[in-house]
Amino acid sequence: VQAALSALPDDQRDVVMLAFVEGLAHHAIAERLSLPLGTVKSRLRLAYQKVRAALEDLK
Amino acid sequence: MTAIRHHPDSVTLMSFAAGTLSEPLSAACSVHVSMCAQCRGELRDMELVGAALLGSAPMSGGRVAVPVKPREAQLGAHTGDGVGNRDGLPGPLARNYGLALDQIPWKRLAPGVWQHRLELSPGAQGELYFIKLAPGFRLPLHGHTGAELTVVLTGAFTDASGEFRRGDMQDIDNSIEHQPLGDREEGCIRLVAAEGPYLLKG
Repeated sequence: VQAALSALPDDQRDVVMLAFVEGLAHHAIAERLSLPLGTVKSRLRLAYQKVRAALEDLK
Repeated sequence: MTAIRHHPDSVTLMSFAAGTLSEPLSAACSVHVSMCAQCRGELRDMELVGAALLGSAPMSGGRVAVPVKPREAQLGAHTGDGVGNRDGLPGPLARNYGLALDQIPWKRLAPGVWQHRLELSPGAQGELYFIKLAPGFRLPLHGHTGAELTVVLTGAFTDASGEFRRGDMQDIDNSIEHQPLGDREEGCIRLVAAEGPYLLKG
């Protein structure tokens, strides 16, 4: 999982960190990064798909 | 019970895992998760991601990590105790509101449509309420002012996006307008969590 997270592009890793580690809601992430809400959601979705694929490989 | 076919968007579930959903949306998510083994599995995976993040390097901006908020503090843990609770409310709702499905003090909104609003914590944003549709009755066409999560507690409803049965979650945003129709035999009781009020159309 760590490797999959490390392999994420910076823009995807940043939204995941803000969501999970800083505990920011999506609209707060959008404000922090000056991004549209839809962009925040699509980056989170892409990031999770990649990390999830890594988890499946481990199972 | 019938297999659950409609689930929250993965981004919604991620917010639930991270403890960042608003109180009403989190309540609806915890009810769905208590009824849905698939989403409980997804949540476990997301918790692994959260745990890995806490041990990982700072984000590219160099911020220092702080602990993930405990989701259990919001509306009960995702224990799956809604699964066998066919006649009553799913566990998270029963625990927090002390209601049984047959004791909900319904307020009639229109012919065949009833509502009961649930109280939120002081200062909490959004709305949480039950909607009961009599068999074959439909809500007026309406839009939304933010995200809306709906869980079917009894019966079923349909709208342009499909049929939603017990345990199913409809996860929509303010781009969606719809007109839910209660099942022609059973009607339905839905738990609705919304970031803002709905907007009647027409």
